[in-house]
Amino acid sequence: MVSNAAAALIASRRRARAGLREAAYALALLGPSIALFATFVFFPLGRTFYLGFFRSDPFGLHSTYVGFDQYLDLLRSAKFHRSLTTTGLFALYTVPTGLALGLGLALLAHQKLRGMVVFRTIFSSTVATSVAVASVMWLTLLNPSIGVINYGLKESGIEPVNWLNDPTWALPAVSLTTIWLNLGFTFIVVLAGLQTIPEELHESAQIDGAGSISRFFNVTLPMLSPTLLFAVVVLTINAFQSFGQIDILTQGGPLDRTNVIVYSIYTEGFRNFNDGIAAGQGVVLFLIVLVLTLIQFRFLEKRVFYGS
Amino acid sequence: MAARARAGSRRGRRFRRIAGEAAQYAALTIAAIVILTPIYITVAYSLQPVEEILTYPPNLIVTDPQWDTYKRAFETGSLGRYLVNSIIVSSAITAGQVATSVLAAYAFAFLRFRGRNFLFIVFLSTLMVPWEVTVIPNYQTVSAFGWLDSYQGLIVPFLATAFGTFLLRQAFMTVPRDLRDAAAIDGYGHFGFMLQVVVPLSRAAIGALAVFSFLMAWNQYLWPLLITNDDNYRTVQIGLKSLVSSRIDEFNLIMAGTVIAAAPILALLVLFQKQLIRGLTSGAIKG
Amino acid sequence: MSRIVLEGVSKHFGPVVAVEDFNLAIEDGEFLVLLGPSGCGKSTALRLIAGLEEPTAGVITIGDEVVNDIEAKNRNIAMVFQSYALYPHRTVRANIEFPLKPPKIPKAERRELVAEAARLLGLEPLLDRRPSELSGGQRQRVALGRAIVRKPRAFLMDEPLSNLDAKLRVRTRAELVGLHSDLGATFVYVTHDQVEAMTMATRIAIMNEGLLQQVGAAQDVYDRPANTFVAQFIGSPPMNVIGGEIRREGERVVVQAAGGTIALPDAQSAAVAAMGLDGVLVGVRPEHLTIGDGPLRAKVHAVESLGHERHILCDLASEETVIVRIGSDMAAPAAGSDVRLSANPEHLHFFDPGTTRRID
Repeated sequence: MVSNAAAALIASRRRARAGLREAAYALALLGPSIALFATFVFFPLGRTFYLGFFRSDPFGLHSTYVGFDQYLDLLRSAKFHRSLTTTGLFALYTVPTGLALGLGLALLAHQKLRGMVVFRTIFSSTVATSVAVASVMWLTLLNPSIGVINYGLKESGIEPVNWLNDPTWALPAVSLTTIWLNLGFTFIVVLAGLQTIPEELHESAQIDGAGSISRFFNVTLPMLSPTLLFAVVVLTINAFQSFGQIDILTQGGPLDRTNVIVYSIYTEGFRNFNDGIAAGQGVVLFLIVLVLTLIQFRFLEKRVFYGS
Repeated sequence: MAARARAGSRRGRRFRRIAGEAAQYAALTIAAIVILTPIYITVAYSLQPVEEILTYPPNLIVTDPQWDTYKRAFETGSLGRYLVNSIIVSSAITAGQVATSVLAAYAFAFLRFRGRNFLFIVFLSTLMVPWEVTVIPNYQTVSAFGWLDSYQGLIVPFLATAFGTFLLRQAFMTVPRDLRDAAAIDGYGHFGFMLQVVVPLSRAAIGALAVFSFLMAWNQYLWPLLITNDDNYRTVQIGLKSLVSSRIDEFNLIMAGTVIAAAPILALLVLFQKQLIRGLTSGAIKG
Repeated sequence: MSRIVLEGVSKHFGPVVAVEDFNLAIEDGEFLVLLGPSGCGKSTALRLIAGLEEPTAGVITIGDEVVNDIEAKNRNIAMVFQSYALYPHRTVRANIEFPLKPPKIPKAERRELVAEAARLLGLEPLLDRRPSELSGGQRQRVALGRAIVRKPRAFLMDEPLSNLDAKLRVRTRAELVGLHSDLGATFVYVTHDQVEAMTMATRIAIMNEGLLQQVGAAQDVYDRPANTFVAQFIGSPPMNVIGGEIRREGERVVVQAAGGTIALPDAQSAAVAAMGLDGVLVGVRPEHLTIGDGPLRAKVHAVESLGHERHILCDLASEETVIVRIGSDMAAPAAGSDVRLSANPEHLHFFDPGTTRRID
């Protein structure tokens, strides 16, 4: 018979071999994803940082290493500041309004009335429209001469606006399009959140004498907070990543009033062949999104009420 | 006396309930109209002759539907080509994402190996890198591969998804441990168990992922814009944009193009509403 | 059909010892029951045989081959799980057919084998149903069907009856025993229920805290428990075990227990002397105690009536409790009364208080 020590050694070698087998399987299964991530997420992320260190010449042919200088110039550039404020403003216009409207629709549609399925389908419908589709739809609506919005304004006695060409109104117009575009998503998410609130909580609040408004603030809102947090995070990050509607509606203008950060990256990178600056802006965008996510989770998590 | 008072209050309650319901229906209808207006106008304009669209005050009723606008959209507007490209690219991306997610989720859910937690975090971290940040180097990479104006260029960068992996991993973890043991005893290794037991049992989650992936792929804008210039490879989203710039005044044609671009997904929404909702909300409920 | 041998097998989960130094030879065709309380390691031992766990040390042999390196799927054994582990998305027929696919058995032959198994277990009317539509007992039979259809070398069962109601359990117990004799196969059966063990096993292997306590035929284990754990685990109500000091009364060696003195038989006297023990544990089963004129004094604490028998719970002066079992036709002493208990010396068991092992 084999001695105890030898037997233990053989057993541990067997275990090691089995462990290796599992690891090999894991590699085969995860390999494709990892290879794709390495090529299209991690490598480009690093390269974006790297490109930010090189300043391209005006013809986009050569670049020279300038270290952090380009980053510093960027952070000091008024144009970039404008781009950041525009994007921030855009988020401010679209997120709270969109969330409030989505919440309102979800509350309306959460009733047990006949025909609710139809309304729910209608309210979710914009989730199926792409950025391009929504933008083209609103391009027509916002058209200064034939658009219905200006028609409605004129009939109400209000001075019509040349929406997409007016420096004051271009960003609000694009924001309106974006709110409409995201309404379906917000509605679906908030409605799903409403549906997870146990009926008993409302009932016990009713028995305790709470009216609808009190119930909303004391039962619905707290229970809905994880869902709302999720929606706010997604909508905000989405706002910072917006591109398509700008490209179709205003192309960054007029007077750079809708030149959000991604559009700026696009123009610098693919029109002006200024890879360095575009990359630098990309890095800033990355950091902003990262910080946003962290802040929102930290800050809002305190207000969020998890659990029963 | 008391009886009449009770009857009065009962009638009052009933009246209030009906009034309340009427108010709700009114609010719902108004909201529905507001939300549907852009869609309605698009469809209406797509069927009107151009002159009618340009009249003032705007005419929203379709009296004489011009169906051949759609025919023209396909023929002269290349919308057929764009549609086919979108279908090919979106289907390929969907199939790819489902495949890589099933494999990766299986590894995370059923295999134990050193570095599992580390790799999980690696996957997680890809969710924090916006596509727009990596778009320039990715363009350079794809260009270096010779994949500009090609299907590969549109498809390959999107074949892996951490979101899909996590969604399926959650579903896979609900498969009872005993089934793994039973399948092992019955003679099935990992692949057999994955294909014959885990995948059929997780049909719902896989369906949700597929619908979600298709939607996301279909609606992509920035990437197809960047890497396709050739009309033969443009997807319907970019095709729509080029239609807007090339046929500026032909509103009816543009609207028809918009309808064509939106219709497949709207149909998908109606058919697969449940799956779509599941895919969208998987991150929201319980964080 | 095969002989299963475990030599020096142990399984550690990190610092937790599930099974330690396990040595057991399961003969071909026997119905061996692994019995023990929850957490004793019996399920782990079963999973080691199945190949669902790998041993930390030791050798496991099935038939003539050492199977340590062979994966579960290649060991040609079948297992029935406590939860049945049926594939919910497949019909009963597909469930039973499932294990026949990897060996690439042709379709016609598969169908034959499935029909045969279904016939044996009375599953024919259920073949096209899904597991969710079946009752617990039916699901269990499907799990059995899936096991027998491939004619494995051995059948492993992990508490298959615990999810059934009492009446069904009794009936299924008999059916399993019948199945065992029909198939002539090796059954390794895990349970915590000693009634199942006693009624079904050819041999019982009792485990506690990862260690094998005793292996033997049911009656042997009952009549000659190897230690106090086995003595008190098998038999209901459990064997009474009381402590006592060794004393010499002239030529005889006696045990001074709380209620009186018990004579120590010669063989045990010699052993006790050889081991140099001061005290000893005396065990006697409830049915072997008689109330009347005996050396043991006790006070009746309560009388429990079960219909067919009565249990008299008595307290000794040392606060140890002793249970006496008598038939219902006999008169029971009143609670609070003093009684004297005796037992036939043949029915006394003696255990070393330190090691808890039996003294012969």
